[in-house]
Amino acid sequence: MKRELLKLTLQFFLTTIGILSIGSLPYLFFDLERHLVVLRMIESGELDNTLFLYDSMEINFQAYFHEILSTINSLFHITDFQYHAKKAEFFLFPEFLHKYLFSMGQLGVALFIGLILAILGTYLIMLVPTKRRNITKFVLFIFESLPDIFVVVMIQLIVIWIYKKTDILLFNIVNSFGDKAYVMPVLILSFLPTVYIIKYLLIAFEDENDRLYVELARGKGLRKSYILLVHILRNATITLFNNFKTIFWFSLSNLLMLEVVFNINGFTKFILDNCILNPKIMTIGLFMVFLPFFIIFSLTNLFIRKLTDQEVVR
Amino acid sequence: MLIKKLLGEPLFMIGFIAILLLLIGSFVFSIYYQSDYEPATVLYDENKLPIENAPFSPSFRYPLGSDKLGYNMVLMLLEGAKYTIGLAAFIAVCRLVLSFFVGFILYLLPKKIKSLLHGLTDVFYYAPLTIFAYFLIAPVLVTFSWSYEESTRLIYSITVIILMAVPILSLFIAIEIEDTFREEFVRNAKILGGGRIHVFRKHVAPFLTPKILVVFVQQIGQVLMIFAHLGLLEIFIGGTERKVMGVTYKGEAIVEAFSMSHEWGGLIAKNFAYLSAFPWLVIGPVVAFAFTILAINFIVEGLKRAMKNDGPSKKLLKKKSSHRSIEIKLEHFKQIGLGNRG
Repeated sequence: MKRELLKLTLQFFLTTIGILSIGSLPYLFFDLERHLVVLRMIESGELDNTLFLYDSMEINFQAYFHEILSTINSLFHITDFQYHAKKAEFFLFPEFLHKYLFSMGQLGVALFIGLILAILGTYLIMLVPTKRRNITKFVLFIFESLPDIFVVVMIQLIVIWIYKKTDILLFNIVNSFGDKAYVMPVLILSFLPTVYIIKYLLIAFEDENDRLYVELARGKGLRKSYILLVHILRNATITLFNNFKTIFWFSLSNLLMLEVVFNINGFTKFILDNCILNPKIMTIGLFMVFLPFFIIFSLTNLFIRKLTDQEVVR
Repeated sequence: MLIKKLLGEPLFMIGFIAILLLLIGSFVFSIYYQSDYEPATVLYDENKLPIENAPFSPSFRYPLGSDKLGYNMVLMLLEGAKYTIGLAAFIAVCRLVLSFFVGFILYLLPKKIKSLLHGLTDVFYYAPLTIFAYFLIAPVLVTFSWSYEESTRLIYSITVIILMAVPILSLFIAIEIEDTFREEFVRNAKILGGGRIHVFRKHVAPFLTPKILVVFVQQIGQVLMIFAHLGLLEIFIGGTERKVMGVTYKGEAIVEAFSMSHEWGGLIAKNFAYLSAFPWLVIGPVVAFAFTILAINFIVEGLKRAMKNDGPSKKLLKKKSSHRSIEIKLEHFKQIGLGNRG
């Protein structure tokens, strides 16, 4: 137990160093202080363009380490941190935290819906005989291959088209002032994760189906649906936890695209809009995603290890 | 042997031929037709009356519509195909070559350092690759875009996209090399006296090659996705040309940047603002991306299936397992001895 805690702490520190190194990377290759000054001048209208300015890439270790230290410093005084936007300085918190909770909430709900739908879907698919199942698997494969922007753009266009033809606004599409779009984004966000989870669950279910204990259960006379839901699901959930990290990663990328296309002022869009003028926001944002999910991942890994003596696949 | 199996694999052939046709069409178009192509900005009907102003909505003549300059979307996509796919393939090759070298070095390193590096590369799992790409490319492409030359911008963005994937990829390759060396046939080769390089060349490499091929094609798909995302974020990679679209009332020229190479990501970037007004401007490149990524995934799946079948051929397997199963009925049994009471 102690050894594992030690390993986890080491992992935590390493990833922290990784985040700090990448978040400050622009300082290594560019004279970023100068960039920022120029950018702020453009924003406030003092400068129209940078045609007359010259910049080049240079390796700048001193600025890099200075930035890392400065970021660490800001992290410890996080509530005082101010960022620059629209010609003024604003406090990052608690606004950032609100957006974070909003977007992560959407992600969480979407993943939850995806999980339920996927378990239902896999159950139904497993009840179908093998030949038809292969067709369904192929259809799933096609859905899984579609890029996320395709899904997002298509659905938005379908809703707009339906609205134009029938005057029925199915869901709130775009976030406009005072009108928050919530249902639609969450549903769309849950689409691709559902497909992924079904894919992994199907593989796990089919694997389990060939095992001896299933044969024994069938021999005992238990109904197929009972076996599926109680025994196989229990064992397949382990595979699911193995792939949780990948599913989460895809969903995060999905969330980013969603926020851009639907103009939702969420967490990732905020980072996108402001990370050019305030590179530290990138690092802070990374930490905010990293901290809770690192704990979740580590806990689930430990839980699975204790429960099944199986090593989690990296 | 693998190639023969691939040719028989329908998924692989569909995907492969689709992409091949796309690329050939792209080159043919550029070489033969492009110089003759003159865009029309106004559509006339039979009576020479103007019916539509560019951009044109989808019709028979313009299956995917056209853009503001009157270029047919299908032809633009066709022309941009070779740049987008070519660039993605180039980036994938560089990623793999670099990761292979780094991966091999990693494999040789002691275990402790490996777990150290594993912890460091974990960063990439907590944010989408696109955000990293945007964050690192923006200083060059967005901030000081005027003061860097075309070539520098191109090289820089390509380098960032290549290097971004190297940590995870090289770690993956190191683990694969390690697993391959643990296989029985490799251990046997070593026991029989094969030197390290000999074992690597004759035994390990042929085993690794199909796996690396699959990873290569997957990388192309992933890079295409990154291009699409960056397009949405209005970063375009590749040449841009600025055309004067009009004049404001102040007398300043309104300049718009067009991607002269018609690279698909650039098309999305340019036209994203017009999503509600002229949706086809964005649907066109998005569909093109979806189609290509789908074809690439078909190729990957075909490769995986062909690799799985790399044992005895399907006919042989069918022969082996062709015993018929008989349903057991009560009549098949003959009761001997006493009944229930025993």
